[in-house]
Amino acid sequence: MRKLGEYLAAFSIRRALRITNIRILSQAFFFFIFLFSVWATWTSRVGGYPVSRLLEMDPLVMIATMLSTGHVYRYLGWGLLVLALTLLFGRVFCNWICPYGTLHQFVGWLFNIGTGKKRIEDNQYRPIYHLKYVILIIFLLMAAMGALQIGLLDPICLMYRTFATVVAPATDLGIDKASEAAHGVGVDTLWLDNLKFGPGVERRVFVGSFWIAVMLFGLVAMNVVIPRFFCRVLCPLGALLGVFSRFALFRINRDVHKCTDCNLCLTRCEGASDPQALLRQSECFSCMNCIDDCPEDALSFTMLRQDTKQVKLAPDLSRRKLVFASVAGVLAYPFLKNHGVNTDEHFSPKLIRPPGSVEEDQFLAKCIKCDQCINACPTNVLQPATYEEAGIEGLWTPVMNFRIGHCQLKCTLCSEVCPTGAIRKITAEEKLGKGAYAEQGPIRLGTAFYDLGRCLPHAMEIPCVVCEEVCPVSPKAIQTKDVEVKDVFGKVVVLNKPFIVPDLCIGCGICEKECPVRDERAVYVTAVGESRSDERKLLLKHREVVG
Amino acid sequence: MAKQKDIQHPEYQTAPMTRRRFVGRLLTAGGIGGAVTYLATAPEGWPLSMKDKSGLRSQPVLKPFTLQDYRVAKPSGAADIGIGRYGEPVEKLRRALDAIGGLTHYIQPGDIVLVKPNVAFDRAPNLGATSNPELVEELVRMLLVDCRAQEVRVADNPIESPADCFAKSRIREATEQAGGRVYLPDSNAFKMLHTPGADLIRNWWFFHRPFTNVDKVIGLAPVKDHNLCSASIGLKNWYGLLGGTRNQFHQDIHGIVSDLAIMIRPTLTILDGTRVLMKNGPTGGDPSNVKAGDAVLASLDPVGADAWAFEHLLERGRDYPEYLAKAEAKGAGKVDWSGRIKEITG
Amino acid sequence: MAVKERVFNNRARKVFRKRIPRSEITSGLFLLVLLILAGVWFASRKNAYDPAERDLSMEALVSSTVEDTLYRTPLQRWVEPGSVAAVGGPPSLGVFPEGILYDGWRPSSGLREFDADTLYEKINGAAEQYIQFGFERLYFISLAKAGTEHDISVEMYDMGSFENALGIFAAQRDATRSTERLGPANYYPTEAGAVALLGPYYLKLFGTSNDTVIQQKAIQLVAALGPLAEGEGSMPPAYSILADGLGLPFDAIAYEKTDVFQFSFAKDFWFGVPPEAPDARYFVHTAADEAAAADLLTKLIENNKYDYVVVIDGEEGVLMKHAFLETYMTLSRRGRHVFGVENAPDDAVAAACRDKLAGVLHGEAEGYPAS
Repeated sequence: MRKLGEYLAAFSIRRALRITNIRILSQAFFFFIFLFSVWATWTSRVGGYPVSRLLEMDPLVMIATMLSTGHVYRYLGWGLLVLALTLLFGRVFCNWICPYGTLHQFVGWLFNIGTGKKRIEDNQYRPIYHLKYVILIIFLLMAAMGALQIGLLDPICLMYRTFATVVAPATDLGIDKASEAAHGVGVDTLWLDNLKFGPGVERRVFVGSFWIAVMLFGLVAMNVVIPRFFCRVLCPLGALLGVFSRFALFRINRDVHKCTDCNLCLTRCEGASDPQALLRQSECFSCMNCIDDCPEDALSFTMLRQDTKQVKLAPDLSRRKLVFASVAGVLAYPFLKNHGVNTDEHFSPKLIRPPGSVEEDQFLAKCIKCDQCINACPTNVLQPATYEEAGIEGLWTPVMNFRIGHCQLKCTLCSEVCPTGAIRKITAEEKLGKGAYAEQGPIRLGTAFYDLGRCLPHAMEIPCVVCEEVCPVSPKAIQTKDVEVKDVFGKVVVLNKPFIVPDLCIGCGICEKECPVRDERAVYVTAVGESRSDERKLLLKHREVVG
Repeated sequence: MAKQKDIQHPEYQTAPMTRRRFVGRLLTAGGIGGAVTYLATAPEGWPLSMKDKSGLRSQPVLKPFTLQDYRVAKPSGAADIGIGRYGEPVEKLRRALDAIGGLTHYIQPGDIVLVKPNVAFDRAPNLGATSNPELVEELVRMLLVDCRAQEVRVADNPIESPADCFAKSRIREATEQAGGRVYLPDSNAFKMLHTPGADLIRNWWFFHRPFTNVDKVIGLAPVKDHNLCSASIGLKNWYGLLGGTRNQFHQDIHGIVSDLAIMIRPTLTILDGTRVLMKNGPTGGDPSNVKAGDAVLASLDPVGADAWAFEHLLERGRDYPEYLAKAEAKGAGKVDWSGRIKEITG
Repeated sequence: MAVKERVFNNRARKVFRKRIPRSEITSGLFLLVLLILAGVWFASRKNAYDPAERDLSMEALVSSTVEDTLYRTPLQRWVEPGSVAAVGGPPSLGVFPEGILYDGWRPSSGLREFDADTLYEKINGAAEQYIQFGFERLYFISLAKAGTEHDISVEMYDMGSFENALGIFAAQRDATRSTERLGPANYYPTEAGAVALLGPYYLKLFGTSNDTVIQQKAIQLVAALGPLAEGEGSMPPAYSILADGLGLPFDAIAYEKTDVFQFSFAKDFWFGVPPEAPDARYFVHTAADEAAAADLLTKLIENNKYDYVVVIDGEEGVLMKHAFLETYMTLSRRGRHVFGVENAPDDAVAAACRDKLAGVLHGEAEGYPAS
């Protein structure tokens, strides 16, 4: 009560409107936009919302895909906005916009119980902070040669990927349990469905999401060791913006005449950018905390009144480290490409990509593993790939798992939300090969095959044929040979024995999904015959009806 | 407002941003920003524009090439199909070539000639599955010595290990003995070929490297039984120049062979009937499958030559394989060889 | 320093700065406005998409409609192994007319034929009797009614002639059943079938149960097979004598082909049961000529003397009495016919029957066609 009184007495509007509070509002705003984007990436919600805009705004994505494909896809030009901001104000993105940065800062603030002295120590610059530039160079060199791996460490990709595959199902699980409990006491909680990330379906699961969780939360947990550990040590986007911020017009400026070297500005310095000495411009997040902490008002954020001697513009990367980073980046490319797990001769039959995907070499040069497609998928069929399916290069890229779901016939959401065009935007017409696309035919994801020893009519004289029933194309890609037999119990039954017509199959996987032999389906889809790849085709030509 | 009292570090001189430097920085920032902006946002048709709204621009586009027509008109008085009989294989070859006007009529001095034998399997020559190395050697020698060709290349893309096939069939030995050069297929040797008028292989990977700057092409095929398409003679020999997923061809083998007939227009097709693989083709494997033949054909019309060889060397009568009629329908030649052959027996 | 470890940071934020320039406030407010505008823009994008891209228009569907002209193999029906349909081909009925398939009956086994050498394969020891009666050929087929368990087997014995067929028919006849006439056939129904005489054919029908369906089918088969009996030549004269001349019912007439009276020389005797003396039997034999008839008569008389005692030997014939059984037998000859009565209870009955028979034969003999 007394604290409140004290607070009210000290309150002033001017103080309330200081720049750090604006910054907190900005962080909250963008974090909310991020959460909303993840929440709204759903078939019944997405409408026209730009749910992948934060990814499209990411200049690392823009520049890396520019290098790996030679082109700038669709909305990736929005990265210029952040680039412009950086060229004006330095690394404002890191502390004003980036949701991962907000998360780190929040967790750090919440759990940081150190004294002022300890905090000043924690925010000293450490040489290890050069590591992110090494990482950036390796990634950019690999991208220049065609292997895109920035998605592993890019903070926006990390956030989208983790929230889609870990936080969303965890939240849904919590809401489900709460609803159940509430129902038990007679409270109606249908409105809670609006909070769910995947409403109106059986709760989604994502294979391997445990490790995705470990990655993000492990890095977040590191904030109690070094504040903003990820942002300072590992973030390649931060490194890229750090490189560009050397041209920034505005920066933090320390008036040496006013400064008493008390080091209080380091208490809450987010970027560990040495505002008390030569400002490391490439590390400064423009968080403005140092301005708040200086009792002498010696710090300001200015364009014209800069003391050019008090700033160190270039990142801390010696030539030696530069050379090592470059060699590593160049060597990583052939080592990755010859790993042999994902080539046209030797590819996993389970590497079934979403509809609209470009062929595999191009796909690996475009996919940033943001998993927005996996988030958008209404049937939960898209899963983050494991090593067996896509090798090292393809870790966490999207693959279809038809035991869990099927590809909904007219749905093209994954292609709509993909920021880089690894899944090229397609219309329902193009996906089904109708209208203007009738000549080239439908997009085929793969081909279905029968395991005749497990199929009920073929092997056990038990009538079934769910697969034929659910096959969505017309005429059906599953036809039957109908035969009456007297089964082992003496009853004469009609067996519809199914077989695949590969010329018609589009690989949508609903037959595999619905097959009652649940553990190892009697009908299953493999990647051969996918239309996105000339080398992985099955048929020489598609047969037509004679006469 | 706090006044500037308690000035610390009185000796320190600030170095404020000069106007020049500021403008310099502004321009650099603007320059970089402007360049990147142009690259990213300029409409797709503009030079250096990297914009790719639909994702289609960044898809790799293979530019296929087309083969030239290697045919040469025959001299007056020569037949379309020449048959050389009796004697050693090399004598048969010479007789056959004489019947169509002589090799020197077709090959000019200084030509680069590609000879395409059948080196599909690592079989010994006497098993009839590959071209006769004696004929290869003689042909290469004739080209280099009699016709004064600049270079003779021998190339094939076998299904089995190329090095083994060329070695065990003795064709590499024969080529190098005569002064020719063997070309083996590797990852960089293929380009996308466009064949206008083809049904199934309109665009297909083609063993391109030996074809660079080539003036004349001669096919040298054995006469073999083939389980799937009845016979593998002159037309099917060109299968060995294709790459990619050839294992799909068997889904419509007659359509494919008729496409092969128009894919390439060779100068000459030579049919090696010295050892005819009568059954268990195309791989053979036992000497009992092979019958010693007594004819070598040299032909300008690969379709008619195939028909004659099917009838007389494989002794299968007039029930020609489907691909011959299809090839004729595509304009590759004429099945009816009557009136167009000339036999020289000695 | 032992500071108690807290979970959260609960330090109040202390701001040390003293001066907040106006430019900071204005730029801060400006930024706030920008954020609000950004939020408004984001929210306004809700319907910024083309729903047609996410669905398939009816025009597109109609313009690229594909006619389903796939060939679908027809349903392959269950065929019981061993049935004619399993063997393949349309059922071959051989000598049987198609009428036997009436009312949904189909052959459940193939048509089989047996001659005198192979008959034992079908009916084992019973074959002897048939062969004695001049058996020529057996036609066998079994029929099943579709959709039911009913099965009926048809055995048609071609005995070569009417008398042979009558002989076996009479020999095997169930005495409790009376014979009916159905067209050219004489038949009697059995528990699960029927037995019939159709000209030279002896027909036996056995069903799998005594269901009325079987019984009705048996009758229908007799009717359907009737046409086989027609046009098989004229009745044997002895049969006419007994049936028409004496007016004996069908059931009363029998024929024995060999070993008549257990004499190996006696063959081809017709028998008839007189209605007034059910124990007695008429008998008639038509010999090849008069000499053979006389010879046969002499032999019969001679051989019968072992068991019989001659009572009267007169113009009408010989009257004998059985030494032990005390039954009477007559033996007479008229033209080619050797005839008489056996097993008569007394001489008066015997004489009366003999006279009756003689009377018919007399009338017959006069108008008798030369044969």
